Amino acid sequence: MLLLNSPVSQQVRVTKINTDDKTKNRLQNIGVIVGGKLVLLQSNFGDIIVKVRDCRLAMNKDVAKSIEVESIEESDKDREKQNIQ
Amino acid sequence: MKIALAGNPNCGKTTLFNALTGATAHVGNWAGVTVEKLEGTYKDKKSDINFNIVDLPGIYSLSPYTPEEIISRNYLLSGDADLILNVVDATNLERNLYLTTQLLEIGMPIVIALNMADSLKADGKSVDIEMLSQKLGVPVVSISALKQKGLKELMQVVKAQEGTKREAISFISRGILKDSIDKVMLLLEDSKDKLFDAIKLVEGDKLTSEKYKDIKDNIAAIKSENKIVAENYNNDFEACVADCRYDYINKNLSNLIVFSSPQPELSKSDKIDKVLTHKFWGIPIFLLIILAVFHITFSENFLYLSLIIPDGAFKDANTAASLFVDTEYEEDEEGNITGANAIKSPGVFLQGLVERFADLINAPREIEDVLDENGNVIGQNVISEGGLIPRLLKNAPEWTRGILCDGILSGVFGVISFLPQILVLFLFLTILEDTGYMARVAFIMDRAFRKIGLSGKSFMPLLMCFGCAVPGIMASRTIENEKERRSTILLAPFFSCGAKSPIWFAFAAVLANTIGWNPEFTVFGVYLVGIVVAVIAALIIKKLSGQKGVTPFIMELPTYHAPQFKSVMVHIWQKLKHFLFRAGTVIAASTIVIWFLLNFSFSFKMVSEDQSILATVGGWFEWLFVPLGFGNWKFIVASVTGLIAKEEVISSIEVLAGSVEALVIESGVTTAGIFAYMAFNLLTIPCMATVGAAAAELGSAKKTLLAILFWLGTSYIVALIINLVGTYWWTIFIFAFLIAVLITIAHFVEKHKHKKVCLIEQNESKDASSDDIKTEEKDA
Repeated sequence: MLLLNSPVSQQVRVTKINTDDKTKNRLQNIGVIVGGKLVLLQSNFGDIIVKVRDCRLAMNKDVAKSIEVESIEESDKDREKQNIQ
Repeated sequence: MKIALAGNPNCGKTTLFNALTGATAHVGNWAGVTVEKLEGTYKDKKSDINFNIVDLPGIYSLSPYTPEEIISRNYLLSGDADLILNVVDATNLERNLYLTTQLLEIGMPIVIALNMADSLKADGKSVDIEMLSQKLGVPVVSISALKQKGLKELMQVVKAQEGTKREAISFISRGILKDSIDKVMLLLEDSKDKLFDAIKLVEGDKLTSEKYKDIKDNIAAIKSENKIVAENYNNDFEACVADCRYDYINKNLSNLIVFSSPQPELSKSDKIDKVLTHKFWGIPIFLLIILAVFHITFSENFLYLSLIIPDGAFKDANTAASLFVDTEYEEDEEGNITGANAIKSPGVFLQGLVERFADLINAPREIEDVLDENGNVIGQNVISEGGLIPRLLKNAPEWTRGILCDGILSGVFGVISFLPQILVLFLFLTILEDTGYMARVAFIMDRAFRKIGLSGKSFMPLLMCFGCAVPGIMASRTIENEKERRSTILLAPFFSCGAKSPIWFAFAAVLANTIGWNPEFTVFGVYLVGIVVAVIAALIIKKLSGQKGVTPFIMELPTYHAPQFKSVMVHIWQKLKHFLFRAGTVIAASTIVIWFLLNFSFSFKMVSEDQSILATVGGWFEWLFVPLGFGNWKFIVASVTGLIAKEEVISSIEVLAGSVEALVIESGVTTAGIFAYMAFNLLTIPCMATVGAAAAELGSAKKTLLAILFWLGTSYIVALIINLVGTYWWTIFIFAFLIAVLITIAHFVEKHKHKKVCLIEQNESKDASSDDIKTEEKDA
């Protein structure tokens, strides 16, 4: 799921960042990394505010579209299943 | 000893810098306030400490992204400083430590100043400082830069590090990257910062790779040997390095934050954001706030209280009370009174106060000739004694009185009387900035800015231009895309700066007297014209330069806090000092020159003003400005003097004609002509200081010349349109048609460009792309 479409106020985990190297580098430096947790606080027609660690980041739609996330609860359940198997 | 302050944007470096050195550098609650290296000294005689302190622009990492971040990185690696004082925002510890892990890779002494630990405590959290210091291997001191707490201890700890050496350490040279880093280090025999360079090379950092481009192939070979990175990170070494750093921080340092009370799900800032950055209400709320600020600053009718106060309530107010209230009224034949029921806004009240002071000092002596029956002068009758200086100089020679009263004093006071309104306006803008609100506005404006080829990143620089275009243009460094940066610089002067505002205030007052126009709307209208022109110009620049897409917008939103009385006051005080300094130096000096040029002819004889040097030279150019509605040499001369400093426009008019109103009457300029003149001064070539700043940021004489022509052309065209449409309303159709044609042409140019770009992409031919760059420059 894209960060753009993720549910508001729910913790999600970044699975992939599909953007140019420069923007990716910026995102990493500012705290958005693959495997890191985010919370979408607000979405204004695709422009979003997210909470990363203890800071709030604003990003426009293009950036929000380039970040793929997964819901944390689901991914944890998946892992549990794998463990059982 | 030289100490460099390094840290994330908005972590309090400049606040600390100001607290330590007593400097008054601009502090704001948003990322990217400081864009230049600042230097100062810290002295403590008791403990014999004398440090040079260098404040640097904030950085998120040592792999820079924007021009001002490169300044910081280059300085830190230059070896000029003896110690890095890493300012860490305790409320955002993990992200701040990400930079710290990189700083530790440079082999020089580091001390960590853990800032804002007190506000962390207020949130029910604390940091285990001893443990943090142990893990990082450098001293950590808890401080509050804002409340100036812990600064002495910090300086003692820094002092203790004097002359010591520190080995570079890295937390990521242990895991999966160990082999790669070790091997690269072997290649770097003579590097000063071996570990740092090796990690940056593995990471693929642009600047370092450039430095070692002759061993590029060896490094690529070493990197290709690392199978783990290939497998897990798809050979993205940059992501791998970042991941390793955060991984170390998560596992070893995050647990140093101790929670003493349960954390709320949404912080206060988040709750405020729900309202202020709302997708529908965000922009209307912003516009309302700005309108309110203008109202408090300029309105003659505060809070529109005249709606509830009966007419004529203040008609008998005494002189002191008339500072606060409007005493003017009209009486019709039946004795009904209208007016005299408005209260002045604080800005207008303060302005009245300064004007009274100016009158006290420099009101002109009014003398009337007493005539006998045949019309011969037989004596003089003094109507008013005038101000202090004219009274003192009663018997002095005419030229002394002229140069002092009509020259310097009237020019300088003409400008200073607008100072209160400028200060009130900036007080509010500074407060809004200091709370952290302005960073949110950048976010909500991003969508709109994108449509005209800019991004929210341009918002703060352009907003600063309302204060002064020089720092505004310098702040454009935070914009990473070059084309966006260039358009931002070109648009900067259209955002009316504080020095230009006396022009609007003065003409607004005249318009209020002549045609009863509401002054706050006139001033607001001028600001609006600047913004509208900027939008149209940005659109045309975007089309002509064939810009494809806008750079992504990623911006940190600071935590809201109550405005800091001290930092707001310091900012206002700086503004006041700067303004008074200019009034006393540049403006006073040029009023003398203008007075001289106005009263002497080419043969250096004192003559009446229409034979003066200024009238002669100015007269040559009058025809050029007739179509704009102000083909009078006094208007032209005033505008030209504005190149020295924009306040000069008004001070020159004061010297040339006595007052703005006098000039309007004397020249017979129409209302349309007045608006055209305001628009011309708003949009034309800015003052020399601004042109200099623009030249420095644009980086070439050719681009600067183009910018100057752009400003001159825009101002001429807009003033022409305003005057013609204002005089003959039907010309609006002609202009609408011309603008439509222009936009169509621009559209075709864009299409043509786009085709060309596509072709180049297909051929991937280097020659074609350089041709394209050439045509782009021509068009721009």
